[in-house]
Amino acid sequence: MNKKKLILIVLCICTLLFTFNVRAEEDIFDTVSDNNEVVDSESSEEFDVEPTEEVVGQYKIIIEDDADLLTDEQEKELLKDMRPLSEYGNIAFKSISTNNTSTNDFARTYYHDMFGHGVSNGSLFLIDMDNREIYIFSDGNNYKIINNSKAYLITDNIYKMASAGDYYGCASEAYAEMYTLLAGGKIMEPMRHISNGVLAIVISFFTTFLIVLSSSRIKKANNSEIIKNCDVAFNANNIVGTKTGTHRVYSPVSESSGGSSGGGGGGGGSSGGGGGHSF
Amino acid sequence: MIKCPNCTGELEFKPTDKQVVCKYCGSKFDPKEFDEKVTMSKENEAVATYSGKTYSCSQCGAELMTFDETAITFCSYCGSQAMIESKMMKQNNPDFIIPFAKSREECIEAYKKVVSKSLFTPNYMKSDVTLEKFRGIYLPYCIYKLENHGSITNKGSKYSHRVGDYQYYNDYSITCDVDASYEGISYDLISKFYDKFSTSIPFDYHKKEEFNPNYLIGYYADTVDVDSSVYDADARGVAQRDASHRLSRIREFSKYGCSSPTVKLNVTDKKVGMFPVYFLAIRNKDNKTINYAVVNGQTGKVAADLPISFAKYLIGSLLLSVVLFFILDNFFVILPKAVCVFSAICAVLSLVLSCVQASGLNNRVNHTDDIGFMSKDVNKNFVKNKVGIFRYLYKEIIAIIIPIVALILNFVYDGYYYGASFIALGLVILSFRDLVKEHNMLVSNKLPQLEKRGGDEHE
Repeated sequence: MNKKKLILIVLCICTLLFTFNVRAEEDIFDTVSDNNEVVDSESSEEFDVEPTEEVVGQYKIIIEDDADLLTDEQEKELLKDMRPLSEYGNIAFKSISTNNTSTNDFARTYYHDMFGHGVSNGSLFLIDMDNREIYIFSDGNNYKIINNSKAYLITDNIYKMASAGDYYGCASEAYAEMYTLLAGGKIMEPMRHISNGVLAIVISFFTTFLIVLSSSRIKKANNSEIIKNCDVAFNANNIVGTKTGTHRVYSPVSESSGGSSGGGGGGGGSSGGGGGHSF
Repeated sequence: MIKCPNCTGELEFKPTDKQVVCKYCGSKFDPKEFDEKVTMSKENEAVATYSGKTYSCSQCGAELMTFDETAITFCSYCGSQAMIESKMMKQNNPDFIIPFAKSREECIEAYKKVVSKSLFTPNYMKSDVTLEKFRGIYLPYCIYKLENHGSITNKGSKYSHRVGDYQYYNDYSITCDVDASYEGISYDLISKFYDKFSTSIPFDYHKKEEFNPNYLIGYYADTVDVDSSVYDADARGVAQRDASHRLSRIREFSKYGCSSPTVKLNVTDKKVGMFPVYFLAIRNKDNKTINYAVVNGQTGKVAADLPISFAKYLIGSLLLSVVLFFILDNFFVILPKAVCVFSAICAVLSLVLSCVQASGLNNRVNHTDDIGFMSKDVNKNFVKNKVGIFRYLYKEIIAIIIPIVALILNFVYDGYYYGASFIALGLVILSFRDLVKEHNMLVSNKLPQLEKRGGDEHE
């Protein structure tokens, strides 16, 4: 038992040390990326970035690299990667270096500004350097497939590339996985499967244990069960209540009593949704 | 020992026929009219008695009486085979008897039905060899009569009106004439028969019979070793709760604002009755603990200590986890941070379960929930056991801390959340082995001889 305890304590200390070490590495990484950001913002000030726009059939492809994360060559390559997705709807890439709102709000607003405020099929991949978050927003038929959960899964699979500064690789992989889903395929989610497996085991351990507890414990007979088996005669007559006095209890009337009526229905909100991951 | 008047064969009371039947020639006799009673009372004796051959256990000291030629080969309380035949013993006739109404076969079927519902019970608990050890024993019970024939007074308070910030209530004194009588609340008078069993298989007092020793033929009987006053408070509690419940349903009491009226009942009479129980004692492999199963010989109700086979529990859990994995993987997306939170919650639940188990274990091993056992002077000094609540809890505590630390550090990389969750969940899974172990300890009883100081020396 002592050996086991020792191993567990060592394991915990290792985990904690490891996690603190990783945190330190992240801080270093943050400093490096901050430096990059400075360079990026300077370059964005130098160059007025024009969005690359292409129309394929009824849908548009837009690349707007405001944070200047991609080279011209990479933008061309990305355009090639995005073209297959235009079969299913509009497709956009956006990078920003400053954002006063949340990544989610920005993605929603930007998408509807670009592709209209009604329901329109399409997807947007956003790299928000200000909040250090990548985000996928979809609408219309695309949203039926690349829903919030799938958007989270894709960004889970690619955030490491963004962390490493490989923004093109990150975006390219995002579009490839989005296309796989839209084409009816499945994307790799190894960690999710493993964690679901472990969770399933733990839940089943709890469930079976509770079943065991309920089925194998001896249950004491309750009062009514005991009385049912006895000879009982019970009568109560001549019940008289006599007033003996009064007492008072301090109970102030609540000022907030009398609630207002419920609100009306909400207005028409914008459609679509998505999910993201910090990096 | 009485023999069949027709063939001098061995006799036995058959619950299915409600008659004393000869095992050889099949002759049947009504136990109430059969002349060859086992009673030994003589005309000049003030108190009627019955007698039987007594066997005592050299290990735990239990004494069982038998009324036929069959020797008692093992002790029904500790499973020991060291039974020593002693002299014939006389016992005062009890006031009543509830004869066996269920046959041994019906009792075994009832037990099997209960065991089959408990999926993870070890196979030895249901093997034929084990079930063969079920023995029908008449156990002495104390039967209480509680009464109150008089006037009772309760207080009530009813809302009247409001003045400013004050609510005014009218106070009432409610009197009534009560005519209450409860007869048949019963408690066993044997210290070795644990209260958890006797209180879980209630007997139907309405079907009692006048005591006739012929009902004992073919069964064992135990003798009183607990003072009947031990359960006075318990019996009073049961009757008073019911009386209060009955009063509270009377409209007048609610009219005067008395929601829980009380009635005091006094014990006016106590009688001794012999109640039928099928008893099974199964020694565990460690040879220090024992599991009991009892079946009410009148109603067929079963109360049994059912341990868990860890191997079966593991297989059952893993099979269920396959189904759960399919559901989780296809219908839910659980993000890494959520996995972390979930693993911490699981660890907390596991901690709570462990604490509840450990607390129950403390009560069990120290007999704090067994008035009959503790009433015996010899048991007041039994070996006190301390089950450390924190004995197994370190795993759960670590499992709570790790995911919380990971969440506080707010990592970008998912791997660390998964890592922390997997460590925590792994520890939770390990803690289930302890939970099963604790459960098995909770449903096992120390051998009666080991409960005494120096008891181990006899082993």
